[in-house]
Order: sequence, then structure tokens, then C-alpha cells
Amino acid sequence: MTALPAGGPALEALAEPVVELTGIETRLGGRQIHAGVDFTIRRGELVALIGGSGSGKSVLLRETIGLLRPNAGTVRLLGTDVWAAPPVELDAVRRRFGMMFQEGALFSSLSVAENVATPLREHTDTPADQIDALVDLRLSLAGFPIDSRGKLPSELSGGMKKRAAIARALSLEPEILFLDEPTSGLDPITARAFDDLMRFLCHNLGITVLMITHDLDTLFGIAERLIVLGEGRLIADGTLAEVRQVDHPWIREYFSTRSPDGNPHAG
Amino acid sequence: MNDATPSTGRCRLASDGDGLILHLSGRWLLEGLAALDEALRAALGTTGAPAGLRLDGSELAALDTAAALLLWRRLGLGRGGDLPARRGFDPRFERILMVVAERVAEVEQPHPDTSPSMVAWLGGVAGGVGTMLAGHVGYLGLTLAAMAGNLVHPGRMRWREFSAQLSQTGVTAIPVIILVTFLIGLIMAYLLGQQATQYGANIFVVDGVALGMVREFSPLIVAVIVAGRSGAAFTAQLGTMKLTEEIDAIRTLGLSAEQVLVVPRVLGLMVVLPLLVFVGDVSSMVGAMFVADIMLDITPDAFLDRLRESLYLRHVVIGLAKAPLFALVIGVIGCAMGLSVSRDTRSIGINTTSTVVQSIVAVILLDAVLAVILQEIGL
Repeated sequence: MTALPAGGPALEALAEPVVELTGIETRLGGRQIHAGVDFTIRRGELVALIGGSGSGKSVLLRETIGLLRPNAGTVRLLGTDVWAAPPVELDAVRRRFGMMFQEGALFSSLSVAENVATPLREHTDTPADQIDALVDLRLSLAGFPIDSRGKLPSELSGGMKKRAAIARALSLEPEILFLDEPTSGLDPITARAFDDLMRFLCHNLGITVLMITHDLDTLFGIAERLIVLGEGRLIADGTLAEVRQVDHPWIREYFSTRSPDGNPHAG
Repeated sequence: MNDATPSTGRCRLASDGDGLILHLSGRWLLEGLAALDEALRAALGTTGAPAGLRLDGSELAALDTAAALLLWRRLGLGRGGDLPARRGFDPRFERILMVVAERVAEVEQPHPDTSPSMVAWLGGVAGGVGTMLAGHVGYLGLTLAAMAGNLVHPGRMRWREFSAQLSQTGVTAIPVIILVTFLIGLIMAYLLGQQATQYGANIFVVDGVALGMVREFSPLIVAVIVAGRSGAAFTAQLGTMKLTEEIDAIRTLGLSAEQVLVVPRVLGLMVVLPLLVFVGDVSSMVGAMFVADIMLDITPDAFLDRLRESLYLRHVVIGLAKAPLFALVIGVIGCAMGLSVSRDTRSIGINTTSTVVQSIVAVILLDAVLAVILQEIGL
């Protein structure tokens, strides 16, 4: 299924797949959440996963990163079959991606710096002085003010928590970054700064980004590809312009507040 | 980044006609950071980067931000050094080098030491204890005022919540109370019996166990168990409600958190604790009777006869009367600590632990004070 187009012109088309979902089916509490979801994400892509409330976006993300077992289907992450791999192999894959949870999920008993240092301390034998410098670099990359590195998560605002969470997700030089609603609950100015941050991480550091989002500004601003989930399957997959062409009631309604150039309709 | 050859990163200092060149090769990644550091030190020596050094990245297979940071730090970029000229770098690596170079000065800033001195820490702790005690006394008053309000307007009492609390703090505690007090009664009778048999004073074991258990130990032990069970539960319940903003919602709806949540809990505990103490009294006597029968040749009949003669009603009443006081202290501490949880999950754990410790210390202190007072007034 990953056959490359012979002599394909674009570099993106040649990039290897890093996330591959095939035939994912999920039933939770007797309700069918997914009835066969397939998609592939290639290295270097910046993808937004959208869909109505209850369409199973977060569930799909949890299945992708190995937190929740789907009832059927396979998840391949960086070439490893997440739900068939032995635990040692799965742990090795877990060190190669980062995840930012919606509320940050920072360890509340540790300072921000300790939060970011935890993966480095647990999984690498990096010397202590270099861990300190690396933590500061991660915080700086995530746009977190370094002089607040000693604060506890409870002392931070929502936006700062999210930045610290991104810094922690970046800790082990991830190849893929998963983000669950990175801009939810943020003011528009901070949310746009987050958009810039995600684009920066993708373009300058070469990190593949998959995010769940409801934020239309993010979609119009930075998403290079949209995957739309509905009624248990993919209802659209492509660039923003392609997705808007899809004749589906949810998609029509979703984009109805915006004119084709992305600006809100006047009045 | 995805090369199959796992060769670690290397570097080599060479010179051409224009000066020194540092050749980077192999994989420069986070997992080999210690080895890379050694390689850099070996190539550059301890003096750092020579002036006019250039970098060559044509043999570089992989580079991440961690390795780039190490490179710039060892080349002294964060301490006012110039960005070296580069050649042969893949555009991806060049971007990473630039991203890190922009930030290396910020990273090299020393962190101010923010840990407080011993004296400041001690002062902080003492101040904290003082504020907390004042807070508890204040909250005791608030709770009593809310209870008095319920006396004036009985319709405001949350009877459904109250009965749920009776069940949760009372009925479900009975098995553990029976077990523990039975064992304590048994142990006391056994230890006293060992001494008493030496003087042929077996029958006085009944006096000792009965007085000790009913007046002092049963109330104390039951209070300690309830502090661990229900006091901790109050803090955890109210703390979680505080965290999820339910307490704020109650206040916003014009209701009083004390009225809705605290009074049913504290009042329920005050009703239930004397009953549990009575269960403990009976259960510990059964335990003592068991040992007396087997070890001390005191039949249950003789035990009960002696009990009737030696245990005055006032001892039982004093034991039971302490219970509501203990309950008030445990309930108020549990609820106050729950409502003073700050907006993070960590503080629920801290406050719950603190509730148990405070309740037990407070109950024992209160018991000691009561013992002295009762002695002085001749009871």
C-alpha cells in the first residue's frame, strides 16, 4: 500500500509513511465509534484531524499512540505494528514521538524544568549539566520563558501549561508530535502564536505533526492536510481546498461561517 | 534521520590553506551525546574553539537539536563567540543549527538560585501552621454557626445527604471497628492477665480492661479509625469538588457550601461516632471475655458479674460523651482541608495526608485535656 509513484516529482510523495492506520474499528460501551478508518501520514506532513464532537478523534489518537486497543485494524507507527509489537519494541517507538495532552498533563508535583527533564533522565544517560541546557533549549523552542522554569504547573496559566507540555513532548527529539487541541481555551493571539510554533517545529526541525483541532483559524492558517472524521469513517482527506469541495452536510456546515478565502463572512 | 547505518558521530580537526576546519561526520543525535562531548573535547582541547574555525558537514548523516546545542556550547557560541562559517551541510541540518544558534545565548544564562534558606523555610513552615490553626478555628465557628442556622430553620437541613453520610461514615465502618477493638480488648486482657496471675488477682483484669477500654481507648481508637476513613474521605471529596469548580457553582447558585456539604458531614459524624464507640465498647469486652475464659479461668458469667460491679455508668457515659467532640474536630478539619485545596491535583493528596495527621494529633490532644479536666472535677 506504500508503493511509491515511479519518479514522483515532489519530495513529499517520496517521504516514508510514519503513521499508517488500516481498517480501524472501535466499539465503546456498545456504540460503534469507528467502522473502518484508514489513513497514512508521511514524514514532514502537518496534518489536522477534525470532526464533530463524539466522532472519535481523541479515541483514534489514543489508539494511534498505544493507549487504547482498537477492536479491529492495525496501527503502524514508524514501521512498528503498535498492537502486535512486543512491549520492548513498543517502548522504543514511544521514545520517538511526543504527545501533548489537551490540558497539558504536566506532573503536578514537579517543576516545569523537572517535567521537561523527566524523559531525558529516564531514557538517556545524558550528563546533568547537558540536561539543564537541553531543558532550557526545549523551553525556548516551545516559547516558554526560561526564567519561569522553576515554577510548578499549578502556578501557570493555560497557555503556559500548553507550552510547557510541548517542551516536554519535544524532550527526546521526537520524529512525530501528536497534539490534542493545542489551541483550545487560548485567546486568539496566543492561539496564533501556537500555530506559528507548530509550523516552525514542522518546517525547521522536520517534525511530523498530527493535531486534533476545532480551530478554523489553525486550519486556514497552517494545516497542509485535513483528515475529516464522521459517522465512524473518513469523510474527507486532502488539502483545505479539496476538503471544501466535498459534498457532505457536516463539512458544508463546518465551513459555512467562512468565505472561501478564510475570512469570516461579514454580518 | 532515518539512515540504516548506526554509526556514532565523530569529528576531526584539519587545516587547509585558509585555516582550521572541523569535519563532522556520522550521526549526531541525543542518544550519543556523552560520546559526542568526548569527541569534541578531544578535537578542540580544553581551550575551546580557535578563532576563524570553519565547519564542514558534508559527511554528516544525522543531526538533532540536542547535538547542535552541544556543538555550539563547546564552540563557545553562547559566551560571545562568533557563528563559524559552514559548508556542505544538508539544508535540514543547516536549519536546525540556525534554530539552536539563535537560542544558545539564552540557554547559557545561569539560573538564579531560588531555593530558600533554612531560616526562611522554617519561618515559612511556622507561619503556615499558624495560619492553618487560625483558619481551622475560624472554620469551626463557621460550621457551628451554620448548624445553629439549621436549628432555627430545620427545613434547610439536607436530610438526604445527612442519611447518606450516616451510612458511609457509620454503617460501613462497623466491621473494621469490631475487628480492631476486639483485638485491642483481647491484647489488654492478655497483658494485664499475665501480671495479675502472679498475685492471684485474676478477677481484677475485668476492672482494668473495662475501665481502660470504655473510658479511654475505645473512644480514642474509634476516633483514629474514623479520622483515617472519613476525615480523609471528606478532604478528598470536597477537594475534588473544589478542583472541578463544583464548590464555586454551589456558591454561585446562592447556596452555602457549609449548609449543603459541611453540616451534613460534620453532624452525621457527630451522631455516628458515639454509636461506633458503643460498638467498640461491647466488642472489646467480648475480646477480653474470650481471653479471660481461656487463660485466666474467669467464666463469661463471672466476667459479667464483675463487670456489673466494677464498671460505673459514669465511665461509659464519659467515654461516649467524648465521641461527638472528637467527631466535631475530625469533621471540621476534614472539611476545612478539603475546601482549602488549591487548584491542582497534587494538593488533594497533600491535604488528605495532612487531614489524617492533624485529626489524630488533635483527637489525642483533646483527650489528654479532657482527662485532666475530668480528674480535676472529680469524675
